[in-house]
Amino acid sequence: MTTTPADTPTLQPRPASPNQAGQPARTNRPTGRWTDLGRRIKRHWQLYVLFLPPLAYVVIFLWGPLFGLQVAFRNYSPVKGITGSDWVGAKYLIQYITSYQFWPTLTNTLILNGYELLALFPLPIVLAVLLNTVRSRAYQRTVQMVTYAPHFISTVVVVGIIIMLFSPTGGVVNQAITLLGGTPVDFLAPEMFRHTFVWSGAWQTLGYSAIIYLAALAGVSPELHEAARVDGANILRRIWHIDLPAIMPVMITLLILNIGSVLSVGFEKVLLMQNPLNLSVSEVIDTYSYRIAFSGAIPQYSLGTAIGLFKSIISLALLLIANTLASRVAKQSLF
Amino acid sequence: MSDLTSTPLTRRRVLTATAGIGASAVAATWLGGCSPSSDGSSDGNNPGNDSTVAVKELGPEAADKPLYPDGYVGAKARDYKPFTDGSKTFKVVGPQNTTTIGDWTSNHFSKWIEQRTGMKVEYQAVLTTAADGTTQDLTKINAMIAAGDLPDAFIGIPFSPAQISLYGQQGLFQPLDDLIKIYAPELRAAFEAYPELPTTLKSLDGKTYGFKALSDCYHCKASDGRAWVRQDYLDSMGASMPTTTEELRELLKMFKAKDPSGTGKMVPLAAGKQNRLDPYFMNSFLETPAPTYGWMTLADGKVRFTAIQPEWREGLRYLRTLYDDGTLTESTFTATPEELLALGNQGRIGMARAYYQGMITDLSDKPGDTWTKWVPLPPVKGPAGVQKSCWSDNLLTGIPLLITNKCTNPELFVQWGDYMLELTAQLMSYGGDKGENGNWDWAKEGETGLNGKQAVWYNKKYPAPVGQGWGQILYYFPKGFREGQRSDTSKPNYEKYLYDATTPYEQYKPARENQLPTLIYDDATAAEQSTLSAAVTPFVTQSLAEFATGKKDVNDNAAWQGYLDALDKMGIQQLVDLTQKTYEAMPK
Amino acid sequence: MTVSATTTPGDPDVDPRGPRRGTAPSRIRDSRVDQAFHRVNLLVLGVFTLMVLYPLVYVISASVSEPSALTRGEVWLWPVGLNVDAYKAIWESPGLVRGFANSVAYTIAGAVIGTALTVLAGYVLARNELPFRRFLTLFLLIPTMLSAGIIPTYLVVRSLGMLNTPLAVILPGAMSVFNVLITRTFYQMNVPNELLEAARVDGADEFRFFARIAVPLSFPIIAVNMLFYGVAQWNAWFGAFLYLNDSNLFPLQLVLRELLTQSQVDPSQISGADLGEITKKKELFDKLKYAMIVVAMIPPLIAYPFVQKHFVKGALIGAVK
Repeated sequence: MTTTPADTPTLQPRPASPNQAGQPARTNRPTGRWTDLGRRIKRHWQLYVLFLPPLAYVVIFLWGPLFGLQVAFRNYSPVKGITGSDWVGAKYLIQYITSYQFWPTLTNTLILNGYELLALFPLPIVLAVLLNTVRSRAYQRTVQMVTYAPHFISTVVVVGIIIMLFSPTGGVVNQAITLLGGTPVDFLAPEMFRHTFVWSGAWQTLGYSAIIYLAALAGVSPELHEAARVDGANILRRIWHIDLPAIMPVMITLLILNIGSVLSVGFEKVLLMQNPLNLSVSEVIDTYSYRIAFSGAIPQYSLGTAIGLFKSIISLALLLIANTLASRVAKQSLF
Repeated sequence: MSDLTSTPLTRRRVLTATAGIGASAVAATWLGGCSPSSDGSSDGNNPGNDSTVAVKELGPEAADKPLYPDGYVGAKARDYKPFTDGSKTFKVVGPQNTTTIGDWTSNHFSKWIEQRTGMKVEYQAVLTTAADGTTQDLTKINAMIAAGDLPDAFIGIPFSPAQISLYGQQGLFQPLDDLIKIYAPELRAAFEAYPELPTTLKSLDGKTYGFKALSDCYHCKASDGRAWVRQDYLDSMGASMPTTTEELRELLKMFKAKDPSGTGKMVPLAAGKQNRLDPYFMNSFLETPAPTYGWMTLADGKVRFTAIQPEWREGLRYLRTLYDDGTLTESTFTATPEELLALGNQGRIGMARAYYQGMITDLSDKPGDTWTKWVPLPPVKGPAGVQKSCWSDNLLTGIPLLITNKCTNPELFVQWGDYMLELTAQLMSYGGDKGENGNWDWAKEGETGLNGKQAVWYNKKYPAPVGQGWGQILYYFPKGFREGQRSDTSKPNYEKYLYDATTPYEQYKPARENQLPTLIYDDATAAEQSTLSAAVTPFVTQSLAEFATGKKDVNDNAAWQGYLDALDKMGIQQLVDLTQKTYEAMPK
Repeated sequence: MTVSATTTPGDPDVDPRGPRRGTAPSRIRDSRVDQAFHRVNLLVLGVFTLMVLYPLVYVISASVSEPSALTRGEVWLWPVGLNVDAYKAIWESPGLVRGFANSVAYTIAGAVIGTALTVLAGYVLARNELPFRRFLTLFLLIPTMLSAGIIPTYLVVRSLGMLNTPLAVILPGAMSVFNVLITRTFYQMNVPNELLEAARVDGADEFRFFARIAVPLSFPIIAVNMLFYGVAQWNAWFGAFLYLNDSNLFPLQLVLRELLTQSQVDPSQISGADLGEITKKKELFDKLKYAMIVVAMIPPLIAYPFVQKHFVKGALIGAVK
């Protein structure tokens, strides 16, 4: 395993050398890569101890259930159990990849989630930065609380509100449009579906997503701002040079993680917003998987698991690519 | 005899009567340990071979019974004695239901059936409905099965027929055919009354794994294809009920032009995501089934996919003319149930596609309210003379009692289930507590049922107050039962409205041999069928909407051919062949 | 443009303790750009808040409106008519109080356990000089991306004997690797190695450093984790649905959800029902959807300010000293 320190964020100075500060290396100690490693492990044993509880959790609850992935390669029946079901190899994976809807749903998923990522990723950052500069505590608190509340409204109700507001037959928005002289817009039509889907998510998630950035900004000393102000920097420059670098590491981390989940669109929301006319753009992998695997007469667990496996592998690949790019470009990465 | 019907019959009296008979019969009653296979295997054949077990017959008619009208077909009130001593406790998993059943253990019917049968049962409730209330969610049940945590029986758990067939063949459920022959007199009586029933209960291997009866629901047969029209709007416009597609087209144009709602925002034709147009409209061009059949019908014994036929194209042309008239819009395909209801409540709808009036106008218990102005619109005749309704004569059998391979006394459960099919038991479960202070009772002489003859029973409300009955678990609602419900002309039961909304469709129903039964797919074909229909169904749905609204031009031969070619590529021929194979493999 | 070098106590831009109530505006004049910015900022935030407020108001209004107004589509901002049947139904539903108490317990337990695991993992992984750090990070990340589904997890929980116990509700999903990575980033940024070196010179070992220095320095991220895990546990119902049989252990969301699903009017079951009942059931369902959200939203909203004060600007300053 590499012994060089990982790339660090810009504010973090390079760590000191492994040897204790000020102590000369003793020349008669055995040296060598593996013994160095052994020594270092011994030195940090306490850190490993600290890591034990989360490690135990991960082994039991994250790695444990993965034995069930073999369901993707078996003809699974709950009666026969996982190991009792017959082995069929890649049959279901192939069936999925060669199915008629494979490419359309994959494309739709990537476009929908990609759009959402591009549009919605910067917004919580903007909100957090703006909130952070508000002087009045009361105002700041109120805005934060109000914008955090929509997180608790269930998807069913959210879509219900969207449909009610934007209904072509009587929704408030279209009424306003006709009053202003325009023609009613069908917001769920194929050409509008993606926009409606993405932007309706904005107001619901912004406040909640901004919280993590606010926490990062909490570590920024107001004295830095004051000093910069004294030096004549206006607020925009101060934000650019102080606030943004402070949240850059969190931003990169979240961005990489979000790219890794680009194949998982909000399933329930899409399902509720689908209608016969927009199916060509609204059928995504998860809704297709639901149709195939769970709404038939016999639940196709094997097929569903195979689709899930496919998604996971692609997601991992995307994560790796995003990670490599980030480490090249921003000198920061997940691992 | 008529004295008995006028004496107030409390539950206590019935129970004491039964208990009295039961107590004296315990000594004579055989206990359930005679001859079942003790290794709990799914071989239910032993009792059949054991000639010492006499075939159980229907019990004597109960002392506490109703008046039966002439020609009554159905279960009768009978006396039955407990058939076991309750020394062993069995585990049963049932659906969670906090508004009707409440707590299974303290539920009145649970206790009643325990006294009647002598069987001690421990219930475990599992939530099986998904959040939207209609889709069945068997995740937890499947997890339990996978883990091997099996009860002795499942009751009211919505396994699909295909699942029952598959799991039965894999040994999860015990076959019940021979047990039914011996221990289930009430079910055998139901078999005689409904000859199609035994076959409907069979799985693909010819065995019966699910114990259940049926509901002879007349109005359910037409439920998927009903259309409604506002009679008061017809009257105010001076229009009459249309009988042909052309007349219907004119009527819709009239709705648009004359706007009888007075709101200025009339919606001549209202339908939506869950209220599809094709089951009604396409039946004027070719026989079209309900959506659950995936556009598959039978013609001369061969499975036919209706959505690629030339007649379907004619139907699409017709819909396109409606769009060009401005009476059909995109919303006709995309409206949600809430939008539809709002439109209807605002009075803006002229004609609507809906299962029942409640989907387009709020119901109330005041006859004369707006919702009563909706009248069913019978099928109209198409240009080629086709006039059919979307109709299904398939029996509605509900959710069965399934006995797992863990149960060592399946014959007890068969009897347990059979006792529930008797009339008093049915009403105790469906109606709740009996008597003046309860929720149901026998009807009095002179009171009339839905068919105008002597009524058999009445209930104050459904569902009964929580904790009294089980609702509609393991029902047996034959014709006599349904028609025997007292119909109060001052406060008409909703059943009457639905009944009246079904008769106009009956004369146009397709021949029985053209109706596809509920197919049971075997394991190998189920996966293929799922994949194929997951592509075909959205495509046909979308194309229907696109052709109708002009996004694709139905009059353009290239566009139509493109549609057929796409379906071809999706494997529609495979799907049809698969369906044909499955149809032929169905138990006869 | 003149600036003054003096600092003013209570000045929100300068005093790390935050502004006093009703502070007089700073005596240091803002540049024009700053003034404009602040004005626009308040405006933008205000508009956004109103936009977000709308659905909240709608939900509350819908939950107390006349059901017929709802089904006529008349409600779009303010309540139409007044009808609290849905709240009555919730209040009277058996298991409501129990469910509420259970949810509070699960939320606190879930938040504490989740935060503890996350902080431990995040801190350890933030230490650059730890051997196998990359491996451990991947070890955590990979199974998060792969998921075998519900049934295998059920089998794992069952084999641990946790079925039908509160542990089954709290432990699966207790720690999110996403949170771990964000916590790790936070530690990398805010616990510089000089501190570690200084502490080592003073003779502190890893445990002491962690407990005495790192943790106090990380109140914002602890607060965020507590909030995220707490909210997730509060909203959760599926784990309880899958692993619990005893309804006395049900959390609030599951109780409400059951109530909701059973108020659905299923057309195939309406035969024989009398109209009054169908109507009442339907009306209840429409409003229950909204009332449930209002009821479930109140505790998180009440709890929020307590957590929020930890990620106020400048909250960390002073901790290091």
